Amino acid sequence: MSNKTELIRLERIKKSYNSVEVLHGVDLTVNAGEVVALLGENGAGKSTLVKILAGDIPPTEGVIKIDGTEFAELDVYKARDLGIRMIFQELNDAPTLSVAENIFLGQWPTSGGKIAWGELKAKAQDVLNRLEVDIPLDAEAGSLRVGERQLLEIARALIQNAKILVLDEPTAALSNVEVERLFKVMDQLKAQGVGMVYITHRLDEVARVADRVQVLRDGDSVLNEVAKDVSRDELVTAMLGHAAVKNARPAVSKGVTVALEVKNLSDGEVFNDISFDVHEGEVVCLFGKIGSGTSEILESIFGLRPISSGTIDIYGERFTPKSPQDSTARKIGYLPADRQRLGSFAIRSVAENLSVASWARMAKAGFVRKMDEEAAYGTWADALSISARRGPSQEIATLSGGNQQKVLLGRWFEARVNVLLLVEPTRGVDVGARRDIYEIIRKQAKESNMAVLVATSDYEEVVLLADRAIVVSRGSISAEFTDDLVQANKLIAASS
Amino acid sequence: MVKLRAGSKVQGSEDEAKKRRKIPDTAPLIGVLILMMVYFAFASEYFFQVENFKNVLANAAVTGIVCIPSTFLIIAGQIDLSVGSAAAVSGMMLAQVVNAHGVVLGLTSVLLFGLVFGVFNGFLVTVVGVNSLITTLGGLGFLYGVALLIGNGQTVGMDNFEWLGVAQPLNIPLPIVIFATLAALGAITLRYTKFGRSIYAIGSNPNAARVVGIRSNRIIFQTFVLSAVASSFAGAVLTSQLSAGSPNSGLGLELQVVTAIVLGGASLAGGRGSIFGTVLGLLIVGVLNNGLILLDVPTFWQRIAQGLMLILAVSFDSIRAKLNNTRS
Amino acid sequence: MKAASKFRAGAIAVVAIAAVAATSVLPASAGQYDFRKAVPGSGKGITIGMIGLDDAIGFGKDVHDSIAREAKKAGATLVFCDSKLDAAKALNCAKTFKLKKVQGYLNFQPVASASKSICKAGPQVPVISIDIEQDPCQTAFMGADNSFAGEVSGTALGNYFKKKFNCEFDSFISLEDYGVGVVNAARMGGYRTGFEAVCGKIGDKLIQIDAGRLEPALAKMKDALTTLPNAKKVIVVAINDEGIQGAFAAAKAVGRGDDIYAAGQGASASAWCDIKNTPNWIADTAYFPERYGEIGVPYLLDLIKGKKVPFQLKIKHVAVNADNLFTVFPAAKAKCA
Repeated sequence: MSNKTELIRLERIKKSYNSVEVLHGVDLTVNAGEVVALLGENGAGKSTLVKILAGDIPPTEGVIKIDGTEFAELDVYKARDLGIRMIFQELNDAPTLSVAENIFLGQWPTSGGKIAWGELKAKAQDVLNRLEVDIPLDAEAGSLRVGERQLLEIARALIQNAKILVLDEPTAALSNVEVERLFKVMDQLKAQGVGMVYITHRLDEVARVADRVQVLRDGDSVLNEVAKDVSRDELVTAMLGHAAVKNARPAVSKGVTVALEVKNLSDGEVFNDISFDVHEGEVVCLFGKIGSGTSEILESIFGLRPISSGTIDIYGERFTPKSPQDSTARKIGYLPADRQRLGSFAIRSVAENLSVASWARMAKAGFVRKMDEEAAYGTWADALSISARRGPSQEIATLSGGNQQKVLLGRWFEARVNVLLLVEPTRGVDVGARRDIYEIIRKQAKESNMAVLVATSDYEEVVLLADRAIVVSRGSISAEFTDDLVQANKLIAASS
Repeated sequence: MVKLRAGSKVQGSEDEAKKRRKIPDTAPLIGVLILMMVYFAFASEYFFQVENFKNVLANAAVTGIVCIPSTFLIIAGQIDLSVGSAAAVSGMMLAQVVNAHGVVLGLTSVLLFGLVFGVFNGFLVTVVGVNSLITTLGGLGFLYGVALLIGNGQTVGMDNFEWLGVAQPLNIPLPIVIFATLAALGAITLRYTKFGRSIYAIGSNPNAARVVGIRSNRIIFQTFVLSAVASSFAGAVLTSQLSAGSPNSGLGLELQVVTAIVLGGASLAGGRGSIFGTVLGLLIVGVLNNGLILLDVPTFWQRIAQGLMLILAVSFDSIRAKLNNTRS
Repeated sequence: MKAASKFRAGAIAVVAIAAVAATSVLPASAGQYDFRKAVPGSGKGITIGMIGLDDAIGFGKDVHDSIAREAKKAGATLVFCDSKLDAAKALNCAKTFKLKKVQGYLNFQPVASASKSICKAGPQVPVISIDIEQDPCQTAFMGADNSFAGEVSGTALGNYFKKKFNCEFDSFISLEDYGVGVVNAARMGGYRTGFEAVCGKIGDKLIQIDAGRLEPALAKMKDALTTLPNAKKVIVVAINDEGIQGAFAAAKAVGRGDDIYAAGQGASASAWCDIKNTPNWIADTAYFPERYGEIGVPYLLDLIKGKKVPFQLKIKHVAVNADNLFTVFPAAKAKCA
């Protein structure tokens, strides 16, 4: 690799916040046409390092060399000028503008001061073709699925002729087919000499896409190897600091009583003739690719989406949800995939986010005591190992994805729901925290006899989380597995 | 259930929280207010007098009464621009009805008007689904027309009903007492009741509020009713102070209200704000206006100073927010 | 927000007119007094107050400036407080005056019916009201005499037509503002009284149009001229200067600037040069806001010193034209040279 041009060289980068050092002198180099996978648990310093590279924040110490030029620090504009582009897992699009406009967001081609629509659309179509995505150019970005919107972000980076591309968990919301398309595009970019930093939590992606892999742990670089020379176990050990527990299926169990029963449910659009039940204390996963209809089924059960035929019974009683309020009144909880839009109250405290669904129970004569809220938070912060440095009053938006998700899970646990509906519960959550969350969900289900229904497109999640797995393909149930038959290869085969 | 070990973790993080204590949201405002008062106290011999403070507070009281429910609305991500015109209509109505039928019927009709108009606004916003800015902008226009119509474009004198605006139980003007009471009730409601907390949740993320089962529409509806009733009542207080109903008495009230609330740290995007902040905002504006008059500052310069003051105070707030962010 | 301020601007215009309307309550003519320059030193050690109409309105600012000028000349301290067309602010001004112990004040706040509360909240000292009655505390009233003001220019028009056309004319167009009720009747009636005294009855040659401001005058005058295709001697009178400026603009736009002969009200500085340079602008009644101080200040000082002062202190209006403009308003010379 020494014969290749060095695009990025970060040397001995240190960063402190309020005298707390979070990076202790990390190096990072990326050559032209090279993909470096950057791994690490939450809080390992990946985001901080990448933000320094993007010019978002200045390093406390260290040298930044881009294309041979040395900088003490970058700013966002300088970074842009140098051809550095970021793709985040969180969406940064303009939902009310069209797909074509979003691809060029802020960089619309003009002729004579007017936007050159013809050119814009032709180029946008060209990029979408390269990504093998079939989305109408005139559609509003906000009307697309999350995975599709993520692809738009990637399309935008492509159009801007990035020299250095930083991808921060771009595949979190993508289906397997979409992921494969993205990798093909990355192969193309490599051939064109683009250098890439690829942050991911999916270890199996590392071997597929990366040339080199670098692992951060607690602000130090602990591993930097050629990707094909490192085993999966070595990576996990490096990330965790100890060997990982084996991918074992949990011990399956369920209660006698049926808590949720769905019969012949259709919405006349996405899913059709769906029937299944969930027992008390049981975790059932609806597995399917994005767009297969799993998340829509959960939306309908919660009353966010109308149904055209079929029935829902809660503890044997007919339930016809008209709005989420009906569902919460029947002790049903719902955790959406789109945390920012539907889940969290970003600028409110963690304590409030956690207790919001329980105010009705907590209130005495209409008054909710802050004490009670903080006590509730204390209970769950402890039980779910939520780490909010500033305590119960910290704004939830300042927490990591994993911690936010734990708060939102705690919300429904605190509300003591009987049925909990979870959509992609570990989207945007790192590997270590994922296992925590699986364990928490299972433990809570068993201990409080809660029926849990999960919609997910991550087969690993199904293996680790489900008592029972139901596979959904194109809106219909195609298979059901229990016990040790819940295996990745069986799930994938049944879902396609 | 998971084992209850409440406290241990929270305790730890609270100790840490103390180390990196946040600058309170209202600190810059309190600072500005104190600086201003110190300056005016030295610059004008008339400023630091009980009588003058009474004047400042009595002036702020009418706007303040409207500010309480308006703060609720802005935190919920809504806005009511019709408050000034509603106050004008109620003032005109009060003068006419009191002259013809006496005080009891006068006050009743005014509060009834507020109720009906609040239901009207609430219905349009929550049931029909019209944006609150447009709904209440329409109300601002048509109610001003109604106010002109009631008095045929003229002001209407009112007899025998001064006590609401002028009486001084325990030597404190009644409007101040009323405002202080409402502010306290408002602050408690916002901070400690399910209703108040839901308002924050709705403003912070209306979609998520729906998902957790908060009845957003009902709460917004009720808050619009509160706003209209408070506006009508404020109109009555003002009319009583002047012993006359004027169709122009509420002109620009909506901007004064929004100014005080935003100055007090509320976000027009919703989710942030407090009654204490709003009261500080009111006091800053009130003390500034009072001081400028006492110092005989020419009118045009008064306007310049008021505008700059607003920008300055809001900038302080942004700087505070930045400081807090870099610390986290 | 933008739209909101538009409403507000419109509303303020209405208030300004309403303020003028309030003068209606007064009996016409009689009680006119000459301007008196303040005697230097006559106000030494005395603090007087003034509640202004609104400094953002030209007329109100002129009155304020003249009172400030005369107070300074007299050596008195003036505490000015702007009502900004708002009775609540005026009430606050009165409270401030009490705090500052003013010994007498001039009140130009616009809401006549709120005067009772304002009188009560303010200090119990002599009060001279300006253009708008301030019951029950006003000791004297100064301001415009609308009927007489109309008459002055009506007479001037009559004299011009008698001399030049032997009182022959085609139409008598009256640009009115019904929104200000009695003021309108007094001023516009005054025009006719003055004109008819010289040239006899106007009769059915009178055309009344509701166009008190610049834009409606411009639009409606064009239409009026269209209905009078052969008229060469059209008289136009208006409730203010703006109406006449609009009328001339309209006439010139249709190529008939020489067909109209006009008289206006106000003779405000913004109209001076048009009066000077438009040959057919025959007369314009001066209101002298820039000289209000020459009545308000000396008489208020008299009151404070316990001297007797007549209740009615009305402005002596004068008709100005191109010939006497520079004499009446020396400042116009530099402006329109």
